[in-house]
Amino acid sequence: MERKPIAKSYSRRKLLKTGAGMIAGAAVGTSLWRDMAAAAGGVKKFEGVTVNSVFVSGEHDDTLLRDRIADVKEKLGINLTVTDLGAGAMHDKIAEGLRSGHSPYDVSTIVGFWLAEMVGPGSFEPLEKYLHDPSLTPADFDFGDFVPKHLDYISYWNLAEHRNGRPGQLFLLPGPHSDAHMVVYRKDLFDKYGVSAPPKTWDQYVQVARKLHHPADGVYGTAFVGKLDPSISLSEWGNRLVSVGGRMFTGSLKEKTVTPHLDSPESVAALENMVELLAYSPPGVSGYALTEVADAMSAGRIGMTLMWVTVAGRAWAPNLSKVAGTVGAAVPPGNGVTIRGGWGMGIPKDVKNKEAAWAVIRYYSTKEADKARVLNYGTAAVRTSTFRDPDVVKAYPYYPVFGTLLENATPYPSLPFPESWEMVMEPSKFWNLAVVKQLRPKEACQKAQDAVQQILKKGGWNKSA
Amino acid sequence: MGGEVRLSRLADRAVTWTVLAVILIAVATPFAFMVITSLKTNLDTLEVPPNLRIFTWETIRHNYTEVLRARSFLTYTKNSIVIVFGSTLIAMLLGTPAAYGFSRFSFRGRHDLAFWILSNRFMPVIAIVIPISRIVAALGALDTYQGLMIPYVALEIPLVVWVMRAFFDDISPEIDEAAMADGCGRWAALWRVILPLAGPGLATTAIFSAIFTWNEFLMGLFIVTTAASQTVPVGAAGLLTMERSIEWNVTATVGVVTIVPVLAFSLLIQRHIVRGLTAGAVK
Amino acid sequence: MSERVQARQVAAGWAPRFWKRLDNTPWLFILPVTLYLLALSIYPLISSFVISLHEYHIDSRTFAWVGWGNYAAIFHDREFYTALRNTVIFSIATVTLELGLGMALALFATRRLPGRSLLRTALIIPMMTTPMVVGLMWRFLFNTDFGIVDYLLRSLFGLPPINWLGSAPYSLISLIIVDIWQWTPFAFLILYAGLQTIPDDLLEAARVDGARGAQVLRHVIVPLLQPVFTVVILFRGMDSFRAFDTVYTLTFGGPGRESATLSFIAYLEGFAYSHLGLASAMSYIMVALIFAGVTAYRLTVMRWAEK
Repeated sequence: MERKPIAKSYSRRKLLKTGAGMIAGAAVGTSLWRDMAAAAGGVKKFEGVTVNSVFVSGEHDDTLLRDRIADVKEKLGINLTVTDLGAGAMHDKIAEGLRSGHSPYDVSTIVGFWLAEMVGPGSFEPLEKYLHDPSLTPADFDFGDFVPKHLDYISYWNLAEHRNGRPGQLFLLPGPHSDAHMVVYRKDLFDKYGVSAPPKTWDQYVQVARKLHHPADGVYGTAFVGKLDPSISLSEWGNRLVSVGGRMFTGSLKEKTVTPHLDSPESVAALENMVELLAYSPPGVSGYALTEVADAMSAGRIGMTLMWVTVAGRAWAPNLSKVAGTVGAAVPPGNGVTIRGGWGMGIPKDVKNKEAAWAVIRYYSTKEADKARVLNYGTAAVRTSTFRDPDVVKAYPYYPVFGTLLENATPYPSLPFPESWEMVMEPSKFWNLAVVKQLRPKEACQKAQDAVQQILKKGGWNKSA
Repeated sequence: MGGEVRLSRLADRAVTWTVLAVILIAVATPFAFMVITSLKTNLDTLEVPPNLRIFTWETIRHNYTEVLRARSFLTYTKNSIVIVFGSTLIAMLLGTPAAYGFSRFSFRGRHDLAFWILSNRFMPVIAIVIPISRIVAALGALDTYQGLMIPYVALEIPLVVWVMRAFFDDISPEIDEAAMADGCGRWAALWRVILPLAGPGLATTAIFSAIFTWNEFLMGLFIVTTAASQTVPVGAAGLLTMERSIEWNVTATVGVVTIVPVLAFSLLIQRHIVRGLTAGAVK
Repeated sequence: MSERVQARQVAAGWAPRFWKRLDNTPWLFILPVTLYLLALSIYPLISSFVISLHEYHIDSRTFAWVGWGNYAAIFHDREFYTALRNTVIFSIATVTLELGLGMALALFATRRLPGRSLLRTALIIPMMTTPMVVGLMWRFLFNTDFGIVDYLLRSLFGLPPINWLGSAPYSLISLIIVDIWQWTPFAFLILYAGLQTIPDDLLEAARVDGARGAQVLRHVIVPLLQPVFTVVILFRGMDSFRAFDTVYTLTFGGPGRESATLSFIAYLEGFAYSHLGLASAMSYIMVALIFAGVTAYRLTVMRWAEK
């Protein structure tokens, strides 16, 4: 997970050169490309065309591509810029670009929650024609190698039915990491306190946390995201809900008959489970976001936790974790379904050099690039071949578990709504209030239900409401 | 009697030193903590109580190359320096005469106009950033230094006008009149006589304008597109990650690295606050 | 020198008087700034006002006219009042404490001290740190389980663990502490520069402990510093009222909305949820509140100064 220095750092001169290239590119448009079939293995080159790309910060989707800017120039002729922004900032910037009709990034990276808001209104370029054009996509690209369920999550969107997945059109390509949740636990503590196997139900999860809880020895049973933060919905409540078959919504967006179920018994049970864990968690856990949970694990202060795979990976790295030799990975309690995540690259319709943008996307989602990303930076793979790769499994012992999880994982249930993020954030407020014991779980669920009901009503997703 | 004086002087000195120590602890501890954190591996930062093990050169080099090179903070810092310097200079050039005008002339609506200038800071940046970025886009200046300086000058002007006016108000108008009796025009009086006297004010104002712009995030986010022209706050926004844990040591290193230029600037300029001390005696 | 100026005025020839008058009007001094601000403020003001009268539909990316609907919705929202309460508490606490501390520090720094310039520099460092880093560093310091603040409180005073960022009312208190740490330097530096214009013997008198010192401070120094005080109060007041950065990085407004400020709510509505109309209306309400506050200040404290 070491981050390599960029081969070539940016300089003012380079910026000017890029600017000049942009002007040249804009002036002549895409008509300049020449079919360099012999030289570049059958794909077009885009001499002097500038492509701006953006990725989320700190998740290592940007790093490898940044290392390869020179290679992109050589192989594709493209002047590539790679920018990384924090998730919120990136959302705001891409959204404003789509509203104003001047998208800043030819290659825009999007996470599941933004699909309905950004791809839903039809502002992204369908990618099939680029995929099936032999002058743009070489034969050995092997589209079938992408994890099928991951494509259904991030790549395909059905405009008419307001939902992701097939049947639908291809709008985004994976390449940026995928994700799912797993349980990380201390094998040594399991042995010491006589826990024979990772918990299979959420009640057992509490029991195990209780057994591992020895604050006097500096080890707490578990930790979870208790702070007001999107992750309290995504990682904590969401996983507990979907892993027991609970539903956040029923009905159809197309028919506008959506009903929320945040007050269902499963939802209340999920929240009660979190509240029960307070007794076996560090005292400050209601101020913990993902980072603090991962820190507690790496510092050897907790016995077990539930985490995004990309975050959890750090527990296995000797330079980042005190417990590297003694951690194990397990499928979370319940039926094996967890919340999935990850990003896809797409092309806003209002950008000029779509073919060049595709060339960059395609370049960055090859088998070779996927494996290199995982090996160099420990991110989550998107191609089946990478999951089967012996080098990868050797470097990251949790990869086989992750493979199973990714097959079964499900998107956060609010994904099909353009108000998706609001539906994550508003309930978070009430989950958090339950964790700090200002609300009882049942009350919190009722309030969350009312809040989501309100959002649905405003969005017109329930005709009868 | 003499013993009493000595005693009270001793007590006075004790008070001085105690207060000094308290100030330094309150202000400097978080800063010192940041510097120390920037010298550690991320794993080491998590230890309670904080360990002060001998720091390894390898870790330090790793943190600082990571920030300066891999995370391009060298570039961001360069961009920020150019933008902050440019916008502060322009805001001072435009705002100082205005402050002088408000201080020396009495005309109808003077206070209302001054308050209108101030009112440009009423609006939350969140509300104006999109329209402003569209103005900048219309001028074709997105993703350029000029594009950022345009709104930054506007954000700095109220501060320059108000702070400088307060300082001009402290300088007696008789000094201008004396200069004008010598045949200077207003502008000449301002330039040759009053500005040199307003040294501490100019220095203070420049430091504040520079710091406000140095820290501005939202405007920067919407006007800058590519990493090569990002400013420090926009680059630093990436430290707050969503699906990865925050790297405390890297965060601290960014803090240390990006303080250096402003610190140098204010050290340079603070001399004028002291020099102004003697100049102020002229009054 | 006077001859040369006169010669130039004669050389200007046709209307030396006109030039002289122009030189001596306020407008040449004030006009450039006024035009610059007008050019940049009219469009944003009008466009956000128009948007505040519309509802934005995220699905179709269109605006629909709702008149004063957004304003009405805000005034019927309980969270708005929570955020208003937090913002007012935050602003009053920070401005008062920063002004008081800044004044004390400024008076202190005028003493003959060892390493005075070092002290001045150390005092303004917090202000220079990138806000994102300030927020994250304090998040690290305030962590109940591995933060140094709680560690010190526990080991030195034997206090029970305090959940600084995750529980009320500590989350708002944390925000106030960080703001004071970060922005007292602003008050300090301005007041310090202001003190430079005050004669030394007066300062010396103010430093004497007891009744006489307090009298001098209250009746002589504070009135002399009135213009500088005004700058500190107005600028810190406005900026505290719009506080956003530390809320976002430290508490995210939590628990619930117990530490959310108006700017934070406006951010959530406008950017995170794309309720552009609601966010614009919220901003206009904030402008109205700031305007009311500033006007009240103008009518009371500044009245005598504006004669």
